[in-house]
Amino acid sequence: MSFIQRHLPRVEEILDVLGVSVFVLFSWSLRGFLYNLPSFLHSLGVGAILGILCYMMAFALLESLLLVCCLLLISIVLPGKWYRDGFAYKGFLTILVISITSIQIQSILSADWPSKEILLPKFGIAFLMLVFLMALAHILVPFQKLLLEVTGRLQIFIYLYVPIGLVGLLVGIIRNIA
Amino acid sequence: MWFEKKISRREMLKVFSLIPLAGVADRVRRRILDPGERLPNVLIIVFDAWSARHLTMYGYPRATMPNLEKFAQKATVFHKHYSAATFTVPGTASLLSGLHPWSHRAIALSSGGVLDRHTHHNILSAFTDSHSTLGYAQNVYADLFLYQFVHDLDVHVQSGAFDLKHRYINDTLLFQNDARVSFASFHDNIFQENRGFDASLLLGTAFRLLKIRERSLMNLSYKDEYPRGLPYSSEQFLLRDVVDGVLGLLKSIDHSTFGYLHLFPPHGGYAFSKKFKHHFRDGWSPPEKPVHELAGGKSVDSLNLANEYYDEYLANWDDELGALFDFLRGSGLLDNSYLVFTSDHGEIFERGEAGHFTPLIYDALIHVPLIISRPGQTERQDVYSVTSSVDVLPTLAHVAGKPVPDWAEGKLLPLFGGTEEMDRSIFSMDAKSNSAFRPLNVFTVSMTKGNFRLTYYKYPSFTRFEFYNLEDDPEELHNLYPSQPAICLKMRDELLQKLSEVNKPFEK
Repeated sequence: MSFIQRHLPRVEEILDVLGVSVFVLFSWSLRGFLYNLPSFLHSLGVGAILGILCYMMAFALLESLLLVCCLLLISIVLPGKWYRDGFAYKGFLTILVISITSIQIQSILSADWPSKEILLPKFGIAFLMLVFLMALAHILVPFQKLLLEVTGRLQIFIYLYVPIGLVGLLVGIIRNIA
Repeated sequence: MWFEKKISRREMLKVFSLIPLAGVADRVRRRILDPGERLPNVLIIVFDAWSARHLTMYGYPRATMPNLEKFAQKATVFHKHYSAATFTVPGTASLLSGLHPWSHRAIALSSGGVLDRHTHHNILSAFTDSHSTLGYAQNVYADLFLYQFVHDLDVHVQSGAFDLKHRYINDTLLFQNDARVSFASFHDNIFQENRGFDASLLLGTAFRLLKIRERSLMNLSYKDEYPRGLPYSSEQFLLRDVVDGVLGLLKSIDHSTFGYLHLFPPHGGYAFSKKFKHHFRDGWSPPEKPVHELAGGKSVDSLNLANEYYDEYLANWDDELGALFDFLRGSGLLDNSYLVFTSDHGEIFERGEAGHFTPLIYDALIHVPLIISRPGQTERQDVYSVTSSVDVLPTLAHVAGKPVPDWAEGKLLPLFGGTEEMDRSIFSMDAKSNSAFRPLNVFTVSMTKGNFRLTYYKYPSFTRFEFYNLEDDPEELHNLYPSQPAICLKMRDELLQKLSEVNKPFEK
């Protein structure tokens, strides 16, 4: 237990990363909802559409928490200097890079398995980019400060999106036990 | 997975086939309430995307389904039966509700079902007081209607029960009370099915990569048996597993049962087994037709190849169905059952279009088989007057000795209480781009009357009437609308009048 506590980042830094996580994942989920909204409006009632929004927000909340948990796990497993120190900006960069990579992969996915020639470079570039950006932030203090400034400002989204996700979760539960 | 190691898929199917026993208590209750005579079973078996134009008994040159045609020798065959719609959602809704798409309004792929006011207007409700009701739809878009009508369903076999994998989130116990909205949330939204962006940024990608990877590996492991990959609905499946599953369900029937079994084959992508590869590479090709302005622009060669694949898949499906027909003949089930074989819509391989998700309406898309075997029927009967998929509900209610629901829009089928009406108007439509809550304004609708068909395409950038004499021109090659024969104008007025009438309830 004490090992985990020693390897966990500070609460303030965890909240910084949670802010980035909810901002990115909820915003992407809302983008998907708005993209499909015209189609929903064509064929579903308001109650059903709000139900869909609730499921999506609840799912985004769970996904955000899962992502932060994964980053915390990395922080616990890796040597402290690698990831725990500077968790806020390292977590931010990690979320940024895997999000961009994920969008790129989603854009090429179809029913068939993409070839290794397409998929592997994307993972390779993502990894190298992450290492490069982390090194840059480590060396260039102004860059690190900029990242921390952004993560700090994104914390506000915790107070916006987390309650929305909780409401979504509650509505989802009520819809399924009613 | 741990259970996959301990229980084989075939054993799992046997377990699934026992699910209907869950309805035993209900049946016993009915027996106590009505200890009298046993009523005939009424069973509807739907093959998805099954066009009548690919069967010998409807004039096709290739013998695609010999087992089915043998079965039809002791059944009633409807030769001019038309679906009310051109794809699964509205087609199934019409079949189950007995309503036209302009009434039930399940007209888009993302539809959550029929309008709320029609929730109790379904074929199951006609049988709940006297029969056990059983529903299974392998196509998830058809299964949504079983979820919507679940209050009239004693046994709902899950959509993926006979697939190789079963991972529909909305099908899990967690979402049983809200399956339709959870389906719309997860399916093609939080998790994308094919192309496009998942609303889940990270888990969506991971889940999709995992699913595609598994599918590819599965195709690879079955490559010798299925050279074009495994049959696929929302999950992969084997044709024989589906037949085994259905057999399990039929074997469990021990009391008056109404069953709706909606099976995915021969829906695309026509993944036939090795035995049927090149089965119809016979040099024959369908007549070439002019490319339609609203079609997908596929080449003649690719259409002919898809047509051949469809035929080979049909033959493969029929081969597997042999076991089902053997069971039906040997078990005595036919002696006490009305058994209906039909489809929700057809399939097209012409005019630059392949499949059925299209605004086009031609015979191949709406002309579907309808074969009904009545209890103990020993001779074939043929009906040549035009009939519609909305007629199935009132007819089955009638043969089961029930009053025809007043909301049903169809008529009794000839030889099953109805009369042959040669000049009756039959409507089929597609309005997937139209709002379900507003008057029809963007649509294709066809009216088939006797030997004539009038089709009206109404889109923002394309409006046209087409008129065909189906007796002289069964391939619909010569549009007679420009010459405006009297019958055509009369039909146009009737169609426009009908549209105005059905739009009224939706005008504010």
